[in-house]
Amino acid sequence: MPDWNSKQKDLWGFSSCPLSVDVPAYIQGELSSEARAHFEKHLEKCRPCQSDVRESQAVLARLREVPAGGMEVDLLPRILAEAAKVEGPALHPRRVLLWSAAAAALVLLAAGIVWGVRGSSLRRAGHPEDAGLRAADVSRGAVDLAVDWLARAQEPSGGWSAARWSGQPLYDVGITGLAALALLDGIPEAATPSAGKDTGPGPALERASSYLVKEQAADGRFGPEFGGTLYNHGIATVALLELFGRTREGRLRGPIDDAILYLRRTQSTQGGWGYLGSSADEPNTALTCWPLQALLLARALGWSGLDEAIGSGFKHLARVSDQSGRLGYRRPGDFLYGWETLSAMGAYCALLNRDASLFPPNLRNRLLDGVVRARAATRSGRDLYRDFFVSSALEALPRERGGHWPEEASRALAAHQVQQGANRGSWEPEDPWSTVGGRIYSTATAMLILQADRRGHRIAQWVERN
Amino acid sequence: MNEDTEAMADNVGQIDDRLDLQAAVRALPDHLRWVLVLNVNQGLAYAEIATVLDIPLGTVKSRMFHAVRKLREALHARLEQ
Repeated sequence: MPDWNSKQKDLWGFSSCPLSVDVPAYIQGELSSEARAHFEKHLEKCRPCQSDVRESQAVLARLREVPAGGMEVDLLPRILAEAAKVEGPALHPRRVLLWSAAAAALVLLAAGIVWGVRGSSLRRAGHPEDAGLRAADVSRGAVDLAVDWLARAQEPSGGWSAARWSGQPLYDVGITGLAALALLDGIPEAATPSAGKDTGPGPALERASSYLVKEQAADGRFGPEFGGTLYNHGIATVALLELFGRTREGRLRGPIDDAILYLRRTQSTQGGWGYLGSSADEPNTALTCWPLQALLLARALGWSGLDEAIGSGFKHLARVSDQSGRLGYRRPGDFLYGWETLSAMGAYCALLNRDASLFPPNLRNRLLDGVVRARAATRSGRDLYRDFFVSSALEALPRERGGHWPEEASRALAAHQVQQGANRGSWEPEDPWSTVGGRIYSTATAMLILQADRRGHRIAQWVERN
Repeated sequence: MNEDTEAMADNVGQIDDRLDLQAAVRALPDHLRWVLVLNVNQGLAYAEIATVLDIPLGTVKSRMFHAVRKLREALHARLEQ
């Protein structure tokens, strides 16, 4: 592989290196893992490509900030119509079908955007509470419908099956944790799950927590042992902690103690957590934020002796942060799946921490600014996992700093809920992570986004009290 | 200049940038603009764009590259004015 130097730059310093054609695909996580590894190796040595990556990232980020109404609403049907015209009568039937499906989706999307815009102009016109209530009602109605679907989809074991709903079988414990979190704000204030008796999500939650406890191994680990163990384990631990916070059930203390010990044993010597769940593995930010979140919640709920582990976890975030507070996957600028999700995860962890000695205050401020910028990316509405963390962080962020998840985004999400048939109340498993978690994941995550304000309010009380 | 004026000037600058960027997107040839808008504004993955427009995946990748490069050229040209 030749090293491309400044001679290979053209007029404005753009790379003329033949591999630079991969730059946008690299930034957007669209390269295969093989091509990606190859390109990263090249990137280490190729300066023109490095500057191409930086500039292209900036252009792509700014493109997403171009307001709706310019390109989004009116161009899409035209693209499809014009593309159809170009092809003329020789259209393949499959494509006609695809186009009409895409066109139908676009009409819905355009309607969602118009609706959102109308909502905000109403507010400006002087009906603030009116419009606010309606947005909350839309979310509430969607969540109620989803609670019913989740309860119907629960297995006799008390867990949820990823594979039955087009996910991967190894993640049953993780999606059960997500489902439990999604149901948590449906139970009445100050009620134990069993107090709900036969109505509402109470019984489903109780069976879910029993399932999680039953799935705990002798070493404290939730779920099977494999590369993704810490996703399952981190999510399940967070779910049991939040359930404990709501109900203060003594039976959950022992399993939580063991789960925390497992997290401490698997923490990397470099501070974060890595894929193999062993202390020798190189940590990554996507994994680290679940265990870190769990430890921060545990501390807020009264567990002690966690400061060192939490401080080391934050050290990982500091190490992967760039100057503008964007978090990389393993290193600064390492945006395997974009920076928005990782930065929102880190900002959320920072917001769960009130102890300035555990986290550099400069980094905290940069992360909080970053999550406000990440909000612009959520308009595309195609990544529920990202939106889950962005909404969690924005709801934990004070309003004067730009906090609050936009109502328009909630309305658009509610408009995508399945309204008919056996899956009424769920969300289609169609975002990039649905191949892992399936329909349980897409539905639970959508519910969590729609309830981000309630969950944020509940957790803020624990954090502030401690 | 006090802080308010500075902030205002900054906002105006950003709006200018957005208008430039929007204009640059409109000026792209159709085949590049379609791919860019489907990806950036509609959030379609490369594979989905390939299906909808019935073009090879590699073509989506190279069109994205050319679209981004043309936008960068347009922004650089503006800076040099």
